[in-house]
Amino acid sequence: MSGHNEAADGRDSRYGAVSFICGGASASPVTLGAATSYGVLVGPNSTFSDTGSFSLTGNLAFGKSDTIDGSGNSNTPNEVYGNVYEDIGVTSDLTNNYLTGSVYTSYSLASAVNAVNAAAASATALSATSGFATAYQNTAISLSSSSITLNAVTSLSENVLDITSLSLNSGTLTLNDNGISGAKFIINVTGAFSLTGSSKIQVTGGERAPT
Amino acid sequence: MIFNIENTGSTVSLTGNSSSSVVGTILAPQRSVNLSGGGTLSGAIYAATNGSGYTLSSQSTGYNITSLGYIARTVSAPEPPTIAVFGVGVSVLMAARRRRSHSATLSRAELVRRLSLGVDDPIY
Repeated sequence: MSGHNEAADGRDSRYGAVSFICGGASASPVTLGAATSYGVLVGPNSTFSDTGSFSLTGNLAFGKSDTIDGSGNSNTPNEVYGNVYEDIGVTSDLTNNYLTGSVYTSYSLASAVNAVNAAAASATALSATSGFATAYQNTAISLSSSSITLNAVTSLSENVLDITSLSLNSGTLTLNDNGISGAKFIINVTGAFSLTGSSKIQVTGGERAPT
Repeated sequence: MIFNIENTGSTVSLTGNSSSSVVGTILAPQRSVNLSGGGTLSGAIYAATNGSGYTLSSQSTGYNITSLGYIARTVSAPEPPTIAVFGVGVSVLMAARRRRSHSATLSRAELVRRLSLGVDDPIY
């Protein structure tokens, strides 16, 4: 399929619904906009190399002129429970892929790419939240077979933590809403981001995992 | 929860084993991303959106990703029409309160006198 301009399951309608219910204008410091239609988005002029058993429940998207090596493994094929969207100029090999949806080619992903970049810029511009994870602000978090819990302090805006790196080796990082309904978290990382072993990043207290 | 991996730099690495799990959305506009080990991500990965030449790779035992949908925080700010309606409502309430207060200050004799005179609104 080709020439489509909108994702089949665009989720932006949720924002409208929320605004309507509140009866007022909404201002979100960080929104992912058109990107929310995709579980994995690879920006333009890049490569997706998938030679393992990759599984995605959601849509997979590739920017302009990407190269897709999705040859996978015939014994353990990749699985995509959703659609694949390819912008113009994409070189695609999706051999050994199990796909429940369709492949859309020449599909403009500019709005999704721009939305991600805007969200990242907005997140970076946010100030660290006073009183939130104070001991870890502007430091490196490194956990080896250990764990820490960071408790939310506000529901008025995102709980923002700025760190220089995150390294978990069978470590567990827990974000707890601390009884604050609707608490959200943004972790800005300027350096390395690495998880090995049985590492976990989890939320407790009911915060909904954003995607 | 959003992990915003800023700037250029080392490859974002999610290479834990099958017991590894992550909840959140990963923004890595200027990074490559390496996935392996068979862990799980409940969220999304947006990589290489700002620049070129990056790689998102899934190797050997790969990774399992389930996209849940990010719900952005909405901070409600009243719009001008809402403020106007609110203002009218406050005015009506204040008038009613003033009316009740005024009626409470009238003596019974004065009220009877006004009624006997056929005053349309004997309270005022």
